[in-house]
Amino acid sequence: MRKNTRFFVFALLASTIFGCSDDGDSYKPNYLSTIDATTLPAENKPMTMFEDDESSSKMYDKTDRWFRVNEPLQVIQKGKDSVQISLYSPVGLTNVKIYAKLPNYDKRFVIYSFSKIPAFHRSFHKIPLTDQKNDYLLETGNTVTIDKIEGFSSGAIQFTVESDDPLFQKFKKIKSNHLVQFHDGYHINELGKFLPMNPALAKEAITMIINYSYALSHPLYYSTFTNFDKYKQEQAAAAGTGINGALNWHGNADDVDGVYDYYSKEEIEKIYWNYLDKRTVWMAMVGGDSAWGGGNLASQWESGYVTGHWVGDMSVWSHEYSHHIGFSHSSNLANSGEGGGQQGMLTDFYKYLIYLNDLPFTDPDVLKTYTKTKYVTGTYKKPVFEIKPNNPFLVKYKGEGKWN
Amino acid sequence: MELKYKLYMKHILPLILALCLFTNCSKDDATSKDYTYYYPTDEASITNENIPGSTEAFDPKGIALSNEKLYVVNGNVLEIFNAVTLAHIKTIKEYVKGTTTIPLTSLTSVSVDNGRIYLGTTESRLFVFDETTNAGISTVGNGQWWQTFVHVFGVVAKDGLVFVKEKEKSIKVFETSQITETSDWNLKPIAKLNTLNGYTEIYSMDVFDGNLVVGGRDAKSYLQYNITKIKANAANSLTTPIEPEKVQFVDIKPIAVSFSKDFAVTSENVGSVSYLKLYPKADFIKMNYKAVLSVSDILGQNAFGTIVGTAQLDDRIFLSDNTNKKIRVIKLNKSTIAEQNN
Repeated sequence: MRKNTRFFVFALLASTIFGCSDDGDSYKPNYLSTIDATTLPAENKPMTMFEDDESSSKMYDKTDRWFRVNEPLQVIQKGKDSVQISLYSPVGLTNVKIYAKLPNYDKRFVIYSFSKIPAFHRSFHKIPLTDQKNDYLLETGNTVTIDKIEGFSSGAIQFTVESDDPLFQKFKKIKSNHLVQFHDGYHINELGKFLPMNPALAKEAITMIINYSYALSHPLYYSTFTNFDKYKQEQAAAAGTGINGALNWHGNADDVDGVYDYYSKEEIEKIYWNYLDKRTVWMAMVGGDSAWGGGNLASQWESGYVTGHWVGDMSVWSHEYSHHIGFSHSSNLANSGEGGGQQGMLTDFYKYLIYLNDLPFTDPDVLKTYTKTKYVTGTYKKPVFEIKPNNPFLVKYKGEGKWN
Repeated sequence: MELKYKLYMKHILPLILALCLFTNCSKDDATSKDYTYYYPTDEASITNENIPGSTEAFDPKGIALSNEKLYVVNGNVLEIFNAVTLAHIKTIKEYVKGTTTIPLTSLTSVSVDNGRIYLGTTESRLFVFDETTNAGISTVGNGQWWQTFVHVFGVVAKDGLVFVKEKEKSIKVFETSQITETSDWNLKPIAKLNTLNGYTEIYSMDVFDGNLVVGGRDAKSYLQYNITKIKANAANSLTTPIEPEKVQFVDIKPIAVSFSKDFAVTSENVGSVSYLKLYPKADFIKMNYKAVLSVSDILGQNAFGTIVGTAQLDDRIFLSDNTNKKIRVIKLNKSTIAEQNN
């Protein structure tokens, strides 16, 4: 009987040591806590960029204030162990995940999870990898545990942003990667022809360029742009006339007696992508008789920034931006002449997108610049959008075509 | 009865134990899949200040490691350091063999293999020293560029062969056994290789797994020559030099390459930016160029200049940064990336 007891004790012990245990089957991750960027401690140096009363020297500092139109939420490594997060948007984002990717490991993992990031927010955050060993959520849903890494060489981490916020989903569709900056050289050198902007106007400019970049990226715009000959035919048919002026996109050569330097299908495709390429645009404001564009410059009047873009008056902007892309007044890509060019077509299209509520921002009250008498020189009322019943896109698509 | 039971117990206990082991839950489910993240930190640097009595400007070019010694081509001299303590051991300024003394000048490259130091100079000569005594063994070439070599811009010795890069597109291949205490200076190469492009740049080369790999900066690729093929086509290559196998890069100019225990330790220039890249050497030699480390600075500081030579000893990497006139000694750190199975 004593032997028998010993046997049972032994068997029990063995089963304890070697037996199955649920705890060992799946790893229980301990992720970093979610961050609310509206309530950050001072150590994160939280701030709002482009506050109305911020010194305009800040907005004109091209090394500090710049962004790519397809990345309004910008994540930049600062030093070996921290990042700067900046949101170039008049509306905040919710539920944002910032992913990191390391060389020698192909999967992305979440290093920051933000419940809220307010409009034009900037803050600094220590890279958690440099702090201690942590668990991180992989994009596959699994967990990865990474040992402490002392620091990172420049560019060693690639950051990407994901969010289910509908506004972010619109940002994600922007195909242009133009870099936006403000340049004070124009008004410093030619005051009057150009006027200084202030942060209140800069916010409008940023709002407008994101909307405009979204519009250029829109599949409906792509198909209209790359089939402009068809668009012209449709306009002529609707008006019951022959085609007025050029039949399709043409270049900068002088137009003599209706002879145009038409672009080929391949050239038009390439030009479309030039509008969305990575070059830098310097946004400026004019005060004289004309707006200007060319090289890095694209400009318009104060009214264009304050109210014009909210109601889709994008003709001047389209014209100056086309100069910036490289087209002169002889080309219908810049000019409205010769029976309608991009200026008119883009404006009608943009208005149709406002009508569809298919732009990142359609509510002028997110900024209310029209009320900011201290920061604008013109007199403005709240912009009220209207679409004409004969808008060619409304006529053709009848409320369809929203980018989903 | 008592006895019978005892016997029964004796048999069943091991059986139960064995069953316990076999029926144990597989721990594979819970184990993580591990990856390694590599990153460099600054450890030290070697400049003129580390060479007692030196008054010359430090001008590092080719480097080599052997028996925990670091060999550094420095302008007109060869410096030898302890690769562990970084202490300076000696400066070799002359080739001395018996009554013959030849001052060293305009050195470019060094390789240490099988008890010998091979030292190349743009004065169209390859010096060969005894690794232990540093006594001269022989010279290949007589210093006149129209003779054995038109300058020497790179050298590597391995597996019984010496590869000498000279001006423009030429690499000459010798057998180490051709070079002896009594061999003639005007040796004939056994084979010739074509580097496709090139002029008067210093070239870095190394041998791994039966292949010569050349940092083909001008050809924008790593030039790879299979040594078996070199031997098979040796005679013919003297009239038509053997061309390399390569993957063509667009912007990347490989500058230096050396093989350590695990890695191809390379430097590459892209525009004006200089990178240190580590490739797993088994993949690298299959021309699968996926770097596990690619950095242009150390934790955001001290950007690299053009690195003309690389070498790795354990977790320490030596970089001959000719732009910044120093040997950069960096530590290769590792962090584990453990993918959990959940």
